[in-house]
Amino acid sequence: MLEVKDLKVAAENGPVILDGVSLDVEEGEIVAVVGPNGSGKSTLAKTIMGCSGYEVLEGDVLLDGESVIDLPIHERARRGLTLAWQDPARFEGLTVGEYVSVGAKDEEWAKECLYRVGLDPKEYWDRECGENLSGGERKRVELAAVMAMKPRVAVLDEPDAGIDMASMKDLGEIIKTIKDEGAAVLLITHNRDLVEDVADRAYLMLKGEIVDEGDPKRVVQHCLVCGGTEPCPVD
Amino acid sequence: MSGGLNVDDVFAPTGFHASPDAPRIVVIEDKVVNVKEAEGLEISSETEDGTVRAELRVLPGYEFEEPVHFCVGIPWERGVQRIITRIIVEEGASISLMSHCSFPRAEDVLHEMEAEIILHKDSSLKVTDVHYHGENGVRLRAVYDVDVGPGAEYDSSFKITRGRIGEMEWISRMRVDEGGVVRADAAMKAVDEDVVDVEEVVRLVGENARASLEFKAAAIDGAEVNVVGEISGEADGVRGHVECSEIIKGDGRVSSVPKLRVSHPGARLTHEAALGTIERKEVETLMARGLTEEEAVDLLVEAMLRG
Repeated sequence: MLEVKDLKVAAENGPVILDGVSLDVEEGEIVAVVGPNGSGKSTLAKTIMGCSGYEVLEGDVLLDGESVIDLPIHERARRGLTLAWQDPARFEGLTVGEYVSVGAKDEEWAKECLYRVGLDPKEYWDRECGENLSGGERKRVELAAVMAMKPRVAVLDEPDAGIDMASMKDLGEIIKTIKDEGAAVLLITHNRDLVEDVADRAYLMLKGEIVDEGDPKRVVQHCLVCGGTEPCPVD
Repeated sequence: MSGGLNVDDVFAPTGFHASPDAPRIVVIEDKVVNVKEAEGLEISSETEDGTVRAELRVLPGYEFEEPVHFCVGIPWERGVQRIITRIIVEEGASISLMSHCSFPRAEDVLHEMEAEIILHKDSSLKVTDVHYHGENGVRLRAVYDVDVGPGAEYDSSFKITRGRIGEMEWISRMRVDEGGVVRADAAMKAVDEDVVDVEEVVRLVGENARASLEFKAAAIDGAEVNVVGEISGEADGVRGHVECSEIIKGDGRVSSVPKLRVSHPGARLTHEAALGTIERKEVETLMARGLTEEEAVDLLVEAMLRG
């Protein structure tokens, strides 16, 4: 369904960040990409979506076998690809209802998606996305906006970053709900519990390269601090 | 209807829906086409040398809950509209005006407005002024002189967020007496070759007078917006605040000047200004939900101007 082939990416006017990254996500799968900070995970997510700030030097991104690498972001979205940002935008003046409705087929479904991420639409629909929401609430709104699109492939960039442990407990369920609504999920994270809870497969990324792939429980055994060269001493 | 002209259609782009019972004055180019008075509201008008002179007077103590429509416009491509208006709200009276200014097919249109507004003691006037200048914009010159009497309240809300603006020069001078209040806000979206100059000046001359000026503007793709918001504190206990939020996209340009003048030690004035660009990340987030870049920018600007 989603295929990344030999992707080599540099920051605009900057160094190479991804060097020959290849991976795939099949229909109905949740596939995790794990790795330490700075390994290139978020660059991978944004490059798949076509975001600015990066230059694709080599390689391709394919959706259902067709290249989308030259398509603008909205064309990729209209083919069923979407991205949940690690640090969601604040959108001054835009209400939660307006944002979640952007990709939803109707208002009723947008409200249902808010319910499913644990936000009561009666309370949140008319609230502004900006300063009035906590970091955890903004994360949930972001996931609701992704869910509302009924995407075919959802790239979730560190949905667990910056949220508390209580929120973490139902994050796995929210991700599974996105999958159950028909999306293949590429989950970018370095949270091993989340990976073990939801992922069908996992890739380990280090310094811009994929260095391991396979069963999530085995892949996350690599210590993400030492670079995956030894079993993790803190676990 | 006037000469085959459907007035409602002319003003539809501004959101105007005429209630059949609402008091009103409607001016199409240099003709007053519709006047409806109400008890306590006197409206007079005349046209001389292409200039429309209109006077609205609200008699003492009368309060109008439903807004009075004051609609002006030119429904064709070319024309000149000059209006000199005088609005007097007598002591203890209260009224709101829905002002719609529509030039939906403008190609070469000049709209000039001079307004004198007098609010007597303990009266109130709320003006909601919505403009639509079509897809080409108009040349607009407007000068407002507002005298807010003791204990009187003046609320003004100006909005042009659809289509082009054109060349707009807007000057508003307000004088506020003891205990009087001014609240004025403006939301403007300028695109392409639009040039907007707005200057609002408030003199707080009476004790405990208050004023709040708020400007929100977007300058997109070559447009230029210049805003000056000035408050002068000249008496004890006066309070004033100026707030400006402007964003640009592409090679749009904005200039925002909050000016505060104080000539009395008991006056307190504050200002806040934020200038910035539309964040690329916000645009790309909305694009990742399926909007084109243009649709995303429109949604963000609309939200910012409203927020």
